[in-house]
Amino acid sequence: MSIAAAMTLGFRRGKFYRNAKLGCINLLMEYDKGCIANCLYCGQAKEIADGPDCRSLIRVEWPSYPLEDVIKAINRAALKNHFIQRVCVSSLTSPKAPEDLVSIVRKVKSGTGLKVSTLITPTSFAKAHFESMKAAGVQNITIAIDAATEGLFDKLRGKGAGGPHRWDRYLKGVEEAVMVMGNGRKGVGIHLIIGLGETEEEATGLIQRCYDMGVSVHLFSFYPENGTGMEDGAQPPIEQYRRVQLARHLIDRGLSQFEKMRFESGVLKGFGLPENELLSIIRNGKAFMTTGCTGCNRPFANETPTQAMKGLLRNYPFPPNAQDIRTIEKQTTIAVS
Amino acid sequence: MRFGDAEIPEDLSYTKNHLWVNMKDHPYTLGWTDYIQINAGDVNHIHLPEKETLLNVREEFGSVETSKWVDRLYSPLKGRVVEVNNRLFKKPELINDAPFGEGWFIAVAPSEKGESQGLITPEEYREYLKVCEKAE
Repeated sequence: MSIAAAMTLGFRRGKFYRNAKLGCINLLMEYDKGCIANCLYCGQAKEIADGPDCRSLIRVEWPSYPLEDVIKAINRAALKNHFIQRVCVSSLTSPKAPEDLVSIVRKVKSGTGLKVSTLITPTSFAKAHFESMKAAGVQNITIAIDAATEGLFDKLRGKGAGGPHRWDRYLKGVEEAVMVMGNGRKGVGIHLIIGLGETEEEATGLIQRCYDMGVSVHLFSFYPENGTGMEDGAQPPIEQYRRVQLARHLIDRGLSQFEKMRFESGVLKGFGLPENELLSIIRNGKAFMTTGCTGCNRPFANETPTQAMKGLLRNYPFPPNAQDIRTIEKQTTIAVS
Repeated sequence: MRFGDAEIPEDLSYTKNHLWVNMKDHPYTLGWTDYIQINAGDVNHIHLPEKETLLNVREEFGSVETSKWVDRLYSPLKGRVVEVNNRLFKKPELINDAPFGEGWFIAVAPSEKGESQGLITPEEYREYLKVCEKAE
């Protein structure tokens, strides 16, 4: 499970900056041989991970515990801490993943009674698996597309990276998930990482495409993980991330569309809204909170706590306060002016 | 003495920001207490001032970062930094493993007047920890 989940459930001691609370317990399936994929930005990539002992994913450690103990701990914690709303089970790429995931979901669902989301790779999962997952009680299927374009996807996750993932299969997987779970956005989501080499126009185009399919978009900001093929990469500038967050929010709420937005050399220059309306939305702050399933707030997953302390908190895991809004406004006003 | 799992050496002074100060010899040394290192989690990074930095009381002089938290460090002393534990930059785990030993942060030559603020005894620190635990 994530280190944040381990701390929340009492397996590890630790503090959260600004007393952030975790709303979703993130679990990760593991196998002796690890993940068979080789995504260049991921700490679980087969060429570097060397099995389940490599614990890095999305910036932090993911310590292991028996599922039975985890379920007991979730029940204890959820009784005291009503902030915990959900469990998310993420699967690595493995031929055993679909069957194992359904088994885990059944146990978690019956053991905790909490909502259960899943993060899967269409490389290993077919439509029939989605039907089994839904029957087991899964409320959400999310697919980590991560890259905004086919070219980037192939370079970082597919043939270019020596990995098994294919863009077409991923998008088909999203369609299949919508067929099974419905297109009410709460049923199906995708992960999109900003800062892998895409333009803002490409990212926003994919976001619109997903919302048109009835799928929600969960945004991440690239963080270079040590030991990965992209460890020397740079985080995207905060202004760039804020622009894409704003664009996603506007599309998600039906306040604007990709077609109404203006881009210059791939950079977002116009959001398709009058400036005063845009400022009001910025000052509300919600556009800059973590996006995902209800309750999934992933505190400090895309930046170090020190960066967060310096005003570079990318996805706010709690409603931004007045000082946060001032910081965001500077970062976004520069970006939108 | 102890507070739960945490050791509280009786020959040190403490602050309510969970620093210990060794004032038995000159220069004085400072570090993180056992209580805070237990509860904060594994330390990933530490930021400390350079040698010869002048510190004022209550002035921020660095920070300690764990996976999901960062703690700003505030000086209880007025003085000059005469030594920095550079080992911590490559081995921050020393702060968890030996908070009163190899995990020390900085050595400070106190000002002539020996100005300090907020220093409390080990007993007062242990009482303070009771309050901290209740608050959590």
